[in-house]
Amino acid sequence: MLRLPTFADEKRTARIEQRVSPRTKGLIEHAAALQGLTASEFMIAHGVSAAQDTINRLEGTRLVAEDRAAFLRALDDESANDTLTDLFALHAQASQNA
Amino acid sequence: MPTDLDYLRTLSIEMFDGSRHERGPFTCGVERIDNFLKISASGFVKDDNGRIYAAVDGEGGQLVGFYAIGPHSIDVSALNPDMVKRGLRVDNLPAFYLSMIGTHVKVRSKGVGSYLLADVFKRCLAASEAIGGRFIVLDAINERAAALYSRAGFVSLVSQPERMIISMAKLRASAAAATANAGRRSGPG
Repeated sequence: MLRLPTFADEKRTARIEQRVSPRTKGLIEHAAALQGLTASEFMIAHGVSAAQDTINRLEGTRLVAEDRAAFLRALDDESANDTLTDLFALHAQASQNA
Repeated sequence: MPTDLDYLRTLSIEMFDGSRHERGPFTCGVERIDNFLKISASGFVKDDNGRIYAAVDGEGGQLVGFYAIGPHSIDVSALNPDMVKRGLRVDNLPAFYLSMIGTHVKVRSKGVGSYLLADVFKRCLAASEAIGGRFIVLDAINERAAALYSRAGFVSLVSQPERMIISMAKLRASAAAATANAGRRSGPG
């Protein structure tokens, strides 16, 4: 179950408003009701959770056990790649002034 | 991949400057990337989340492509025994994250995207030499991009397939191969 963001010591002085289609509003209200939340509680909880997740994902990559084979392949592979070699050659040629 | 070397030679790749580079007409065909450049770019740089480099057309001074790059880390604690076996007694490996790359639709098929991508690699290699950094990480925006990165040697993670990584060691070896080839071509005989 989604944890509601607290920030309990902070005053709720800012507003977020969004126009949505009636269908979207109905969908959100239905999902919120199923969890015993108001639509705005539901949107804040999911919005904050998604925001934190997005920021975490940009700052770092957390590997899990199933990533092992792919990651070790990337870690151990120190061989040249033809596509990369071509890209470096292109860069060298393009950055020479004509 | 088609390239127009004469055109690429008219470009300069420089650090993005919101007060100088005209962003208004830029469109790469992906709204999210256009919006990043127009709305978020200045804050991204000001907050030191990373840096943005722009490809600027020598004639009109127009921005025809850009990329955003910043620091990143890979939490390898789930693979601790493998890391220890390799002498890596740390929970995080330093990396670079390519968060955005885009080319103006009007210069498609000239190789601007390839030039920018190569510039990312060169810049990260230099940063890695200077301060360390073991991988480049990115999220492929669609299947086509994923296929391109895969050809270039990027590996996709099973738990999040759009996330792809490549080691600086592989990039370094490829850069060295390009230099060796160029030397052979211009050498005697």
